[in-house]
Amino acid sequence: MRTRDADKEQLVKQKAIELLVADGFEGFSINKLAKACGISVATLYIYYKDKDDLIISIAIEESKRMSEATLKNFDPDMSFEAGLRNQWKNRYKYMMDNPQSMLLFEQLRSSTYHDKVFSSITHDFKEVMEKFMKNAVARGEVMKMPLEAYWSVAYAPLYSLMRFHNQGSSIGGKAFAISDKLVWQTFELVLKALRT
Amino acid sequence: MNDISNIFVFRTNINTPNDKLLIKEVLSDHEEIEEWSVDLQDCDKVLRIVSPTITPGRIIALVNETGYDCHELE
Repeated sequence: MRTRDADKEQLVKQKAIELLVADGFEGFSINKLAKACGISVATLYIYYKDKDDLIISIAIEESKRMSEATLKNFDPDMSFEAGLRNQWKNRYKYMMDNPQSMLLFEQLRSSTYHDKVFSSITHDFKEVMEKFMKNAVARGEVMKMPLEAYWSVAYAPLYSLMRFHNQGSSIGGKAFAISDKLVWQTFELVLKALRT
Repeated sequence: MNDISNIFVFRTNINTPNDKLLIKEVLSDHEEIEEWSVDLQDCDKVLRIVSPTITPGRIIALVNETGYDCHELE
């Protein structure tokens, strides 16, 4: 009798993400994954139909995990400062804790899997984030502006710092490592820019 | 999620989309087979069958009759 083993399942997901990031979607194979996990190819095919099914399932699951992590303790009715602070905290923590997943998402964005993965999960997430911004505008905490302009000021600076951090260098190749202090310093600037 | 005891996987030489079409004629209309797929991207060209009733031996025979190799993956 074959049984489902939660630890093994977790190992499969983790190794799959590692291999996808290291070898790319083309270089990835179920055979390689089975070897890396020390399990049989047959076991993997019990759970996944084929390579595409495996990549899409794992990516969707990881996206859901990221959405959950990002929405932790978040409420769109929060005050603008508290809500934005929560978002920076959650996003920063997720990125620091899951560097491999971030690389996977970047690969996905430029792949044929993109639509299947992101259309399935982003709807609720987007709604909550838009509601939060609209609430802040309605309360007069933030000026009315296009969503894209808002996002570019509210979150893009954090992603920019993260990108420098992952590269290990910033502008002109200067060595760089992120720190809590720098993140929260940048956050204060963002807050200042957006608040009316 | 299907009951895992109803899932069977095989190594085959169903190599091309054309081969897959030939296999489709046999498997798609089979009343005991709920779901089937072939991973053409894999080196083992894994055939995956979902069926609560069919035996692996019967699947192997069906595939062999169509002119392809089929071995249960362990």
